[in-house]
Amino acid sequence: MKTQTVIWSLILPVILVAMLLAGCDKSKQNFKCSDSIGCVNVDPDEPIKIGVLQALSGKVASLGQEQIQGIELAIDEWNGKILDHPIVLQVEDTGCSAEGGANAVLKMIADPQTVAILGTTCSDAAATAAHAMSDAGLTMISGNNSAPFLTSIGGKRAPDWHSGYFRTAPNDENAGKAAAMYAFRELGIRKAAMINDGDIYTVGLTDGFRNAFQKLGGKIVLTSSVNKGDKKMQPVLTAVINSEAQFLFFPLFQPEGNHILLQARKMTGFENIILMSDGSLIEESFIEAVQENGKGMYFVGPHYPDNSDSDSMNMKYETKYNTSPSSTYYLSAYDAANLLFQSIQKVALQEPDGTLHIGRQSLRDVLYATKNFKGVTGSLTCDEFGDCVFPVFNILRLDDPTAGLEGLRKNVMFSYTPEK
Amino acid sequence: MKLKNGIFQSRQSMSITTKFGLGFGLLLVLIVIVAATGYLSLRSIRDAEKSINISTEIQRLVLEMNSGMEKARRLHGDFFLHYPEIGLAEAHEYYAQPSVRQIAQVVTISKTLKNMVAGLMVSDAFKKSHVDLNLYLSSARRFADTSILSVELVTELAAPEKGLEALLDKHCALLQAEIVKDNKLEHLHFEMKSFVKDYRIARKRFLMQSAFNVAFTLRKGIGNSSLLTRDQKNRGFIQLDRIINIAEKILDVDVAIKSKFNDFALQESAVTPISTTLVKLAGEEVAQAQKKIAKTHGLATIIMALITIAGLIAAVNIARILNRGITHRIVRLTETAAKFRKGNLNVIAVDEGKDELSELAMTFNSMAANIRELINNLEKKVEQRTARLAESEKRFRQLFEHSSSGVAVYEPVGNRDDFIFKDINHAVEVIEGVKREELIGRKVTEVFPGVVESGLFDVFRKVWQTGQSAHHPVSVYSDDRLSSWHENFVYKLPSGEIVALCDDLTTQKQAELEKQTLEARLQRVRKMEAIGLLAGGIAHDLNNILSGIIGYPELLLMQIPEDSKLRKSIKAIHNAGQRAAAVVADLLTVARGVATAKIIVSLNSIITEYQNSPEHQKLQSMHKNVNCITKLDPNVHSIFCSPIHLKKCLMNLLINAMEAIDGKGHVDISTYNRNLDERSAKKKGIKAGEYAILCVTDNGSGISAHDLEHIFEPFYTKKVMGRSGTGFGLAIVWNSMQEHDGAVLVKSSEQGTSFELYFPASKQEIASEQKKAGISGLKGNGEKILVVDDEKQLRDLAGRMLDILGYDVKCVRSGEKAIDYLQQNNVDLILLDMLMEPGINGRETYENIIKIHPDQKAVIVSGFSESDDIRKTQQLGAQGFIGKPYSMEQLGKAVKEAMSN
Repeated sequence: MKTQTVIWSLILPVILVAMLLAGCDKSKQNFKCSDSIGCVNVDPDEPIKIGVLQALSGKVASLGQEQIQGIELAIDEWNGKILDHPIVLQVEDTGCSAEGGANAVLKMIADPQTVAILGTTCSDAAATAAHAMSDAGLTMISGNNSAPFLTSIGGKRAPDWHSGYFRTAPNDENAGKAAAMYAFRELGIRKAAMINDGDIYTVGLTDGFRNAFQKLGGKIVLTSSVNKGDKKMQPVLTAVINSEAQFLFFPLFQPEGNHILLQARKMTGFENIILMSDGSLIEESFIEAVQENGKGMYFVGPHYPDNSDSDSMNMKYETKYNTSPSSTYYLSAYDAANLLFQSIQKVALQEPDGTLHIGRQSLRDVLYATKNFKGVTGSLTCDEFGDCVFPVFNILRLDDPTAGLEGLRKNVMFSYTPEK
Repeated sequence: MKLKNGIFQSRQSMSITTKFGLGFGLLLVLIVIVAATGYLSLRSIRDAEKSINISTEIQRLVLEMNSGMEKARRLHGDFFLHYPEIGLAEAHEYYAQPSVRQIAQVVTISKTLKNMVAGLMVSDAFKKSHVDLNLYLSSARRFADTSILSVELVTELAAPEKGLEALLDKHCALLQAEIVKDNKLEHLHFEMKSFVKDYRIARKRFLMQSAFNVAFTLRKGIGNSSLLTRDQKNRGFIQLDRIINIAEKILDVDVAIKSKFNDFALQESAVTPISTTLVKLAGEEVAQAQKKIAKTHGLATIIMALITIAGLIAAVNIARILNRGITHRIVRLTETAAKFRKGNLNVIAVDEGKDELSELAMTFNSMAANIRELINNLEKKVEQRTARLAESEKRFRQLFEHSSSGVAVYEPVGNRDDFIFKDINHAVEVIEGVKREELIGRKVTEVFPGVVESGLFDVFRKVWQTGQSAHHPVSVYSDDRLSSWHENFVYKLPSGEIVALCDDLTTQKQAELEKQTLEARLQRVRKMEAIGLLAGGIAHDLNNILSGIIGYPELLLMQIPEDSKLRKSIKAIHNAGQRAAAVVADLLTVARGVATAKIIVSLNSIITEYQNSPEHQKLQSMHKNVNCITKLDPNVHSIFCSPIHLKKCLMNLLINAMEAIDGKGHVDISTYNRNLDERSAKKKGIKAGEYAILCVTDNGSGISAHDLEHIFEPFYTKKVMGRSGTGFGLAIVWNSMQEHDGAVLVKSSEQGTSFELYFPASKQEIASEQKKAGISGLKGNGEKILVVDDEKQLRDLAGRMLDILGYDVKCVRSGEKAIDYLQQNNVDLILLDMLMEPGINGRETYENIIKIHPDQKAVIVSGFSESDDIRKTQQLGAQGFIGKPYSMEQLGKAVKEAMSN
C-alpha cells in the first residue's frame, strides 16, 4: 500500500504537467462565415488592412499623393483604428495607367486580409483594378476617378462597371456636357477639336463633349490623340489648325497637357483658338508650370463646396503637412476613406476577444445603401452604379496665374448642375 | 542538526519497501526527465530538419520559378526583337509559344509553392509570404494573358498582307497609283510615306500625326489638282481615308503594345522582389533551423549533463542509503547466519532498526534458539537411528550375501536391449562359477550368451517393461562354459533396476536324470535278466540234451569204421547238434551269465578275421551294392574280450547296416581310441578311462525314435522273424557289451545310423594264438578224474569220453556223493557240473571238497549257470571251465589245461 502511494506521488505530478501542457493548445472557436463572397477575419492583434492604389509616379504623382493625404486625414479622424484594430495602409503606385492599376491591384488581391481598396487616382488604372478587385470580392472606393466608363453612362451601366466599385469623385459624364454647353452657348463656338490621350478618363471627357456639342449643333472638326509621354505636340496642334477649329478641348494630364498648352502658345494659327482642359490640370503644379501661358485657358472641373468643413479640412491638411493642398481632390479621398471606415465598422462582427469578421458582400451592400452620408464634399448617396456624389461642374478660367489654384477655383465662369 | 537527526530517525523508521520505493522513484523521475529532454530535443531537431528540407525545396522552386519567369520574359522579348526579321510565324513558333509554355510551368511551380507555404512546417515569415506567392501567381497569369495579347497585337499590326502595316503600304501604293500623274501630289505622297516610315522606326505619335497633316494637304491637293480626273480624285480620297484610318489603328495598336510592355515591366518589378524575398526567406529559414538545431543540441547536452550529474549524486546517495539501511544489515545478518551454518549455534543477530530486517533478525535469533534445542535432541536420535540403520544394513547385506539363492541386480543399458550386472551375492558366484569382479558392469548377454536361448532374457525385458514380477521355471542353461539347471524369480525395483533370484537345481536335475537312466538301465537289465533266465533255463536243458546229441555221434564216429554207411548220418546228427548248440549259445549270450572265454586281443585283428570269414563273404555277396569301407586305427588299444562275441556283434551290426541300405550305399567300419572323463563316462553308464571303439556307420534310412528305444530288446525286430534274423542281433550286441563292461552308443538320423562299441582298453599283452592240439595231444595218462553230474546221460558221456582220452574215470550223480567219495579217495581232477538238482550245486560241492582237499583241481562244466557261482568257484581254485555241450576235443583240452596248472 505504501509502495503504491509513493509511486503515485511520483507519477501524478508528471501526468498533471502533461495535462497542463496539453491544455495550452486550446483550439480557437471557429467562426462560420455566411457572407456569399467570404469574410475577412481580423484577429485581435491584427490590423485592418486597407489597400491604397494611387498614381505616385510621374507628373500626376501629386494627385495620387493628395489622395493619400486625404485618406490619412480620415484615419486621423478615426484615431487610426476601427473597432480597436489599427488601420494599416498598403500603398501601391499605379503609374496612372491601366497596366499599372492591373499590376498594383494584384498586390492587394494577393493578400486575403485586404479588406478594401481606396483608389485609384486615374480612371484608366481604376478600370483594370476595379475589374480584378471586383472578381476577388473586394470593395474599392475612389476619391479621384471621374471617367463615366467606370460607373454609368446615360443612366446605364457603363462598360467598365464592376460590382464593388464606388467613387466619391463625380462622374465626368456631365463634365463634357458642361464644357460643350459653355463653348457653344457662352463662347459661340461651332467648330471644335479634341485631343485625348487614349485614357478612358480623357476619352470619356471628349466623348461627353462631342455628344453634347454635336447635340447643341456644333461640329467636331478634329478628334486626335497623343500618347502619354509624348512631348512633341506641334504635329497634332498643326492638325488642329488645319481643322480650322475654334476651340480645342484637351482633357489631358500633366505633362502632356502642359506640352499642348505651351507649344500651342508658340504656334502660329493658335492665336484665336480657345483652349479648354479638365480637372486633372486644375492643380497648383500645372499653374506653376505654365504660368502666363495659361492665361485665358478654360478648365472644366467638379464643384467643391466652400464651407466650414472644407475649411476645417484645409486647416487640418496644412497643419499635418505644413503646406496647402494643391487641389481639392483630397477631400473626395477623405470622404471616400470615411465612408469606407464607417461601412466597415457597420458590417464588422466583433467577437468578445476582439476578432473581427467582415463580410465582403455585406460591406458592398452597406456602401450601396449609403444615403446622405455627411462628407466634406457634401451629402453622399451611392447609386446602384457606385457613384456616391451628385456632380456639379464648374467652368473655370485661369486669368491670374499668380492667384494660384485658389484663384482659379474661384474664377468660376459657368456652373452646370445636371438634372437629378 | 535537529533536521538531520529528524531525517535520520525517520529514515530508520521507514520500511524497506518505502526506502526502495523512494530510491527507485527518484531514479524514475530522473529517467523520465532524461527521456523527455531527449524526446523534445529530437523532435525539435526533426522539425528543424524538416524546415531545412522544406526551405531548401522552396528555395529551389523559387529559383526555378524565377528562372522560368525570366526565360519566359526573354523569349517574349526575343519575339518582339526577331519577328521583323524572321517573320511572325517562325517568331511565334520559336519565341511566343515557348514563352507561354514557360509561363505555364511558372504558374504550376507557384501553385506548388503556395501549397507548400500553406503547410504547417514553415515559419510565420514564410506563411506570410503566401501573399507574395498569390501575387506571383497572379502576376504570372497576367504575364501569360498580357503576353498573348501583345502577340495578338503584334500580329494585328505586322501580319503579312492582312496586317495593318501591310494594308497601309498597300493603300499607299494604291493612292500613289491614282495621283501618279501629279508630281506635286506624288511629292506630298512621298512626304507622307516618309513620316509613316519614320513612325515605324521611332514609333513616335507625332511622326504619324505629321503624316496625317501631310495627308490633310494631300487631300486638298487632290481636290485641287487639274491633272486628275474626278474618278481618280474620288479614288484618291477613298485611299487617303483608308490610309488615315489604318494609321490611326496602327497608333492605337502601338499604344496598346506599349501598354503591354509597361505591363511587363510592372510585372517584373512586382515579382522580382518576391522571388528575392522568398529565396532570402528560405535561406534565413535554413540558417534559423540550423541555429535551432545547434541551440537544441547545446541545450540538450547541458540538460543531459546536469541530469547525469544529478543522477550520479542521487544514485550515490540512494546507494549509500540502501547500503546503510539495507545491504550492510543484510550482510551482517548473512554473516551471522553463515556462522550459524558453520556450526556456531550460539551466535545472535544484532539489529537496532525498526523495519523488516530487524524483524528478520529477531526471527533469526528465535529460530536459532529453537534449532539449538532441537539439534541437541536430534543428534542423539541420529546416533540411535544411524546405529539401527547400520545394523539393518548389515543384516540385509548378510541376508543378501548368505542367501542360498543367487541374487543379482541388473540395470538396463543401451536401448533397453541389454542389462548389466550391478551387484551379485556370493551364491551367484558359486552357482555360475564366476567372481563378482568379473561380472559387475558387464552385460548379461556378454557373460551368459545362452541367456537369450534360455528365455530368461525375455523375462528380464518383460519385467522391466511391465514392472510386474515374473517366475521363470526350471530350465536348462548351457553355453561353452556352463551347463546347468536354474529357476528364477525376477522383479523390478522402484529404482528401475531388475533383480533376479536364482536357484541352482543342476545337482537335483542331474540326480534325477541319472536316476532315470539307472532306472531305465536297471529295467533293461532286469528285463534282459528275465529273458536270460528264461533263455538260460531252456538253454541249460537244451545244452544237456545237445550234449548227448553232439557227444554220442562223436563217440560213435570214433568207433565206427571210416567207410561205414552210418558215418554220414551220424555226422549229420553231429552237425545238427552243433548248429543247435550255436543257437543255444546265442540264447545264452542274451541270457548273460554264460561263461565266456575272454582273451586279450587286438580289435583290428578280430575285425580283419571276421572280414575274411566265409560268413562275411556271404553277407557281402548278398549286398553287392553296398561298399564296405574299413578305417582301422593301427594304434587302437588292445581289449580283453570274447572274440566269438565280438565277431557276433560285428556281424550283427554289419547285417543290420547293409540291410538298412536300400540300393547303393556304403558301410564304414572304423576303430579309434577315446579317453572318457568322469562326466562323459557317467553319461554312458561306464567307468572313466581309455576305451577302444569300434564304429559301424551306414548311410541308410536310419532308425525311428520309437524303434531306437527298443532295438536292443530280444525278439524286437523290423524284419520277418525267422527269415533274416532271430530278433537277437542287437540284443547280443548290447549283452555282449554289458559282459565286456563296455557300452554301445547309437546315433541315427535320416542320413544314416552309427553304432559305437566302447571296449575298455587293456594294458596286457595280446596272447599268442594257441594251436589246435588235436585229440592225440589231449590224451591222458591214467590220471584219476571224478565226474560229478546229476544227469546220468551226461555223466555217462563224459565218463566215456575221458575214458577214451585215457583217464581213469569215476562218476557220481551228486555233489554230496562226490564229497563222500573224496573223503575216502583222492582224484587228480574233478569234472564238476555246476547246476545239479536236488542237492548242492557245483560251487557248494567245490567249497566242501576243498575243505577236504584244499588244492583239488577241478573243471567246471555248465550248460547254464549263475555266473557268480562259476566265478566264485573259480576263485576258490577250480581253474578250468567247459560249457555244455562240448566236444571230446574241448573236454580233453579243458582237462589237459586244468591238469597242467
